[in-house]
Amino acid sequence: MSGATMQAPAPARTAELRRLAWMHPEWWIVLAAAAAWIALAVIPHPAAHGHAPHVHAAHSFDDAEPSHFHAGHPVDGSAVTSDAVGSTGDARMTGGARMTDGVGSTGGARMTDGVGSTGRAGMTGGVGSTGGAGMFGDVGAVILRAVLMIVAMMLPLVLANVRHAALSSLSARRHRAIVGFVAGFLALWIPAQLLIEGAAAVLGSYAGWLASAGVIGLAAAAWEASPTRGTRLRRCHATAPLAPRGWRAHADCFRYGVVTGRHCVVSCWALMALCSAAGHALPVMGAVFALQWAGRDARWNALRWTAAVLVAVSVAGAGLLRA
Amino acid sequence: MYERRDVWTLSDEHPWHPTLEWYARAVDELRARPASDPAGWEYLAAIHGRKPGAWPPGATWNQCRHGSWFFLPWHRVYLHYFETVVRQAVRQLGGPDDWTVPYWDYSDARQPNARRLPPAFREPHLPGGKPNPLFAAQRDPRMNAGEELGRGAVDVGPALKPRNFELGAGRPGFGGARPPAEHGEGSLENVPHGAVHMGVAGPRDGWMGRFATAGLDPVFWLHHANIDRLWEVWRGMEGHDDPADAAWRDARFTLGHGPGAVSLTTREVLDVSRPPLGYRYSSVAPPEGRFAVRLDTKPLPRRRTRGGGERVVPAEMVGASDAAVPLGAAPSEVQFAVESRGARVFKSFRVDDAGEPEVFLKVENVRGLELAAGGYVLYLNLPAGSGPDDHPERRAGEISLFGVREASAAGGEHGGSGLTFTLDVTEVARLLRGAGDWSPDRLRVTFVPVQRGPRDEVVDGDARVGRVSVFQA
Repeated sequence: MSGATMQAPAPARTAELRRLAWMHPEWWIVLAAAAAWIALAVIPHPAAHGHAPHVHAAHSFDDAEPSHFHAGHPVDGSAVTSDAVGSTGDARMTGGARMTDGVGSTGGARMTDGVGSTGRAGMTGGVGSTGGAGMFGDVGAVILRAVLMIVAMMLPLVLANVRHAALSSLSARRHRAIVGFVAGFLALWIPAQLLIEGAAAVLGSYAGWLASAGVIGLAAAAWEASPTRGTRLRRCHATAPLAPRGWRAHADCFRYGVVTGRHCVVSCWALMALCSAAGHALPVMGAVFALQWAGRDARWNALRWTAAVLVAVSVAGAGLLRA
Repeated sequence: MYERRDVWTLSDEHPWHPTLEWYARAVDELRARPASDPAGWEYLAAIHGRKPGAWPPGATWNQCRHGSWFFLPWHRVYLHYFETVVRQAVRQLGGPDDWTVPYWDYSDARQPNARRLPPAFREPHLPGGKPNPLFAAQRDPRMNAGEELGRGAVDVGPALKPRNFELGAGRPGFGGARPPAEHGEGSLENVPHGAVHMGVAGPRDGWMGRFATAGLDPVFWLHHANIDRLWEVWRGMEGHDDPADAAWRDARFTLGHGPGAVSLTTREVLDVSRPPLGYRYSSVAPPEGRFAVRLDTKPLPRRRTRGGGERVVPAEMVGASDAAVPLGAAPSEVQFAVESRGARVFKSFRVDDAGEPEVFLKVENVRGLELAAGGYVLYLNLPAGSGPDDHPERRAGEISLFGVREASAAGGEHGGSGLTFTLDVTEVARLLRGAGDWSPDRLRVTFVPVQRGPRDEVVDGDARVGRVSVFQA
């Protein structure tokens, strides 16, 4: 090769693609995140299911729910769907209460209960939804949604770490390094996300979805604006030494994913809780993601907390309109 | 236009040249001001670093930017703020209107005393018997006694060599890495910047050795004036350009509070001759005859990005240690395998295949809270039984541990992953190949401590390198 040759040789397109893949070993994570967004957009959401009018639903959640919870029996809704929700909701609330006791622990049984209450959160937050029979009505679907949320919203924020894992590895095992990192990251985030969902659901069941979204929104804004959040965010992009070969290479990548996930949970939990409280509405998730993405750029630092407040206000505003 | 002059040139004219005399008077005046005064000495030092605590309302403290490509622009704005404050104090005291901070060119080969502190900074007392405001007892006592900084600490050759400003993806750079995605000190920030900090301070508790106290030492500002000058020197060399990225150019730095506050972007301080800066250096010529390294002006393989900026093609990692390396009071070494053949796809990126590949040594995640030495010199494949002094040709470079303690604090402002250095070892690798001593099975890296504390207080400390890796491009 003579001179500076950035021009591709004969099979130009293949060579170009190989170059791009070399420069951006994280390319398939970007694709995965895009696919997760599409899935979140097209997979039927509880809110999309046929159900009673919004006014009714809002009424039942805002007014009847607390009494339902304390009385321990279903809301006496006039619509059939609402009734069904109530009866499932009953068991879930119990689970939700246990979740509260078990905050911090991740026992399998509690987790399942927490998931149940998450389904409820989906409904309460879901702006008048009655999704007991929806595809998120069961545990697997709730877990699936948590996975999609993390892949769509959180993985893109740690692309720098994914790149670090790949570029700090021998070229033959770059993609294995990425797999190890992502496995560790998800191993930490998914249970955390399920806990967050559970907690948001419990809060929603006590206070009504509007109030809980407002409270979580303000808490998120306060957390975003706090100096601790800034320090935490810096730690999200910490690097770690990775062994080059053998099982230690796998272990180091996995551990790096776990450690990154931990910092990521600590800095992003509040906004993820806001997504849950807002019923996983796609615009809210999009706004939260955009906010987090902008927060990586030093130039946007000053705007970050303002935007957080705006999200909170918009969620509350949407709630008011519904009510 | 204000002119910043070399402190040893001034000192040769008179040890108490008016610039230094007025500096001393102003320091005295500034020290008398309260910590809450944005034009006070303590406030000025606290802008650089300060532990959390009872801060005055509105104080812009603990702002210093290290280990990233904001290191140079931030310190330029900082120095401008400092100079404005001191100039005002000098005027108030009846001095000249055009006081400027001198620079300390410790690398000047024509100045025999360049590596010593100038006399005005070493004497505890003024000729009249009063305490000398420019003196600080919180230095390595050998520096105050007039000893020289090590030659390696002031070697600007490796600092000025990198063609690109941005460091990353395994390649060295002059100015530092793009945060938050990449970590790493630019070549200038490592040596001479960090090395002079640690050389003046000593490895223990000297003011210059820590972010929170460095600005308290009056010589700090002369040191940073020289670092700022070296940026101008580097820019003046062929093929050297600042980053074009908006993320760098539009970054804003706000220092001080109240009416005297300064808020400037990188873009606004790139031309030092224009307002609001309006200064020049008495010399920005590259140091004569001090370049053992060849200045390579060939363009790097780059790809344009949509934003108009350019991304350098990542280098390939071909080998790394699988264990941490302790950095103590005695030399330590690590040995690991290097892949002889790189990825095939990578060959299409090579600038030219007539020559040998460029080789970079990355010293990753250096952490520690107690240091045995201020820095370490790295050697490649030092033959068994021979000392580092026997093989100067195998010297791969020097790393300075200035900032390691701050960057190791998990809850701190500086990330917690320690410091990462990237050294260009192409020449040494070429030499080893020529000597038949570049075996793919193993590369041995030896860390030799420099800038150790006085003999009676030798400690081993807890500093360690997370990993040593080799990149090829």
